[in-house]
Amino acid sequence: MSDLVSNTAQGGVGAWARWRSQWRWYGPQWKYCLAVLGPVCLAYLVIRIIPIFDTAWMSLHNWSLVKPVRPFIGLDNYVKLAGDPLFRMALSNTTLFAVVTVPVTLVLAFAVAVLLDRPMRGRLENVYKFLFFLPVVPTMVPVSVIWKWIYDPSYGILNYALGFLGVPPQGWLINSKLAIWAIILMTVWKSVGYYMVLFLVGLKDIPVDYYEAASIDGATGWQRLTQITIPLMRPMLLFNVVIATIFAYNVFAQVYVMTEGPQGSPANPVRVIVMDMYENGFRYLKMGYASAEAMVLLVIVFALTIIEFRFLRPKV
Amino acid sequence: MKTCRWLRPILTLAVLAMFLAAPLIASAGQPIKLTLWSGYPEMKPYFDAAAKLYNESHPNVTIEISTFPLRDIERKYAVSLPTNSGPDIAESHIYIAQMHIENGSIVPNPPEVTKFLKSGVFHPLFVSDSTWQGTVYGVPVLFSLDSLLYNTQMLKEAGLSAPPKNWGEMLEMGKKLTKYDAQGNVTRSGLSLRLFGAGSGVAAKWWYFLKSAGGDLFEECTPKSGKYRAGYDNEAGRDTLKLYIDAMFKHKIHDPKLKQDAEGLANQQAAMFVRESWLVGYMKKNAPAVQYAVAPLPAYKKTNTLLFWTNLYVTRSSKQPKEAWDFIMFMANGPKLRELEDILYNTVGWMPPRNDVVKRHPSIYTDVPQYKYFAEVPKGYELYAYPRLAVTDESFTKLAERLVKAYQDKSLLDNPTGIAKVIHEAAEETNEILKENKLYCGK
Repeated sequence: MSDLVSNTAQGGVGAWARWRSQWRWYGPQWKYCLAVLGPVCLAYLVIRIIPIFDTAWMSLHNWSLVKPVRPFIGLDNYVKLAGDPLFRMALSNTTLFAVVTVPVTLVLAFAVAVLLDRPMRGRLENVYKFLFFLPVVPTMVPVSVIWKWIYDPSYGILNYALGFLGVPPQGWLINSKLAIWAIILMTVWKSVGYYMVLFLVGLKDIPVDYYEAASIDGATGWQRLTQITIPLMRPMLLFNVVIATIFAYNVFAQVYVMTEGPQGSPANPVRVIVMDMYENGFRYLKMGYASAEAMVLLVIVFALTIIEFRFLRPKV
Repeated sequence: MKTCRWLRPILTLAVLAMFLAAPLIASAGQPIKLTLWSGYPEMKPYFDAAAKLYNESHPNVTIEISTFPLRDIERKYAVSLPTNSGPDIAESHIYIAQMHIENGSIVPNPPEVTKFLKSGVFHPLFVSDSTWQGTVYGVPVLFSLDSLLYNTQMLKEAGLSAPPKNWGEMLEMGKKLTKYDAQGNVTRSGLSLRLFGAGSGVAAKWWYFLKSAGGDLFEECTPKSGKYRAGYDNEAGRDTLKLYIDAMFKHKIHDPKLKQDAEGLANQQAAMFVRESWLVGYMKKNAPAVQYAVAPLPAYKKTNTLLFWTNLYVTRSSKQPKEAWDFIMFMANGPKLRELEDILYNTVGWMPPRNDVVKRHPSIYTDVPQYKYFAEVPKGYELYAYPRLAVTDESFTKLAERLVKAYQDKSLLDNPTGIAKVIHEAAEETNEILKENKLYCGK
């Protein structure tokens, strides 16, 4: 027994000695890595990781923004969330928003990118790229204000244009059935250019030789698209799907702006999770409850990301 | 050498006095910066002018004014006041300020300020409703009664000589004032009602009519018990929702696709609607050609109207509370009072809250007749104030969302059971909010 202890101790000492010698061997490299990556990792820890744990901790408390006493309540906030009709409504609206915007935006962006990837005469290619990318440039708030005017039932250009086709004026943001679709349309319009640029980058990386070889073999355009382009674009597709899903579940600015003021949309038909979280946290000052919503959102987005990786990662 | 035996203690005292007085002498001329936040952007010209005038007599004090939309400033207060990072002076309505008063983030008035408030210069409701647990908080800065605004030209065209006095007349006149196109779509609202928009506004506007019907957002179970329940799961609540449903679907005197609220009046898409005196400033700036007048709120089972005002509070965040109170008193009772009141009347639209204001502005109701019905309590009218519970905003906001949904539900027309269900479910939600905050007393 004592031999065993002694051997183990000796083994431990040996491992420690080996580690120390390696540390000495790799010392300067390790130190350099630590010096360069350390501050970045530390900043990431402080800005990203610790707040997540902080939020999780707050979600277990009855944490009011203005009250000094914040009692621990365990999972009560999560239990309440499960029975909260507003949260369920927000979850359902956000899911509808994501389910529609992600595929529609990506399909349109991919189609535009494929069309623009062809050689064009003169400078038309850049003009089209510029035009498609233009909506991405301004931030979401001014764009939402502009679209609020476009959707205005009395003076909006959309109703005016539809009037020529005999369509009666619609309350795009007022009608509870239309409001979420109006916001989806605006978001798709704004996002297509962004994903188009990313797809274009991916398309440029596909060697032209593949297409030439396929043409010599008599492949049609459709076959080239489905047999060469799409399979080789899987990494970029995966990246875009993941990013678009995260953005879609975090939708907020356009909803906030379009519900603002007496001419704004009613909140419930367009209530999304971040909006609900914001309202609970900063309007009703229930930070603990809003933190529980944030944790649920984190889990949803994390789970969806894993699923997307599982199904879309490139097959080697 | 012989020295006077008193010299040493005298010199010591002199040096000590110099040390003690030095900070005071230094601070007298030290630059002081105060910050003031307001949730009423239209008040900026008033506060800017007050800051400038105050600076003329106090050159070392500068005041930085920041105004934000109402919805935003509520959050700013919520985040900044508990952490002592708020402004020195906060302008707020009492129902937003209440939670910060309870939390100690807003400090009580100094005795001389309370004495001034209780001297009869203000309406007693200002003082009683600014008092919590026997202590007075804040000084009123603006006020208005809620009243009915109507387009005089439209009334004249419709052959109507006077504004409505009760709900029945209001609906009848609304029908005559509404205009339709060839397809029967409403092109001008006879009576514009607040039907949508996020936040508490929709419910607050519904609540004015609810009060006329004899209901309230909360009712105290027994006087001074501090326990409440929803005060609208009753005939008053059902009648008020029916008023809206009938206006929309039976009489068709309003269409949500038209501009509502101030924009409706300015764009001449609304003949009548209910609001406060800031509309005077808004109309002067945005639609000076539109002719409109003001009348008391149409009565129903009760003849009453809302007394709306905001207070200026000194916050716990302030490092210079003495100077902050001095600036507030400069606005409320300073040598430039008349000049500042002129800015409210001529530029802003909100009215000065002092009782004696007409003495300084004897021709104001002749010059701007609209102010009369925003300022003078009509004969036989009772005044009421916003509920001052910390849960008022949440209750209003959640009620508003239910009302917005109900206003679009045509099946509620001639459907007393449906209306009762909507009202009951909304009241249950209000009761839940009260329960959560340990303010509920049961049915």
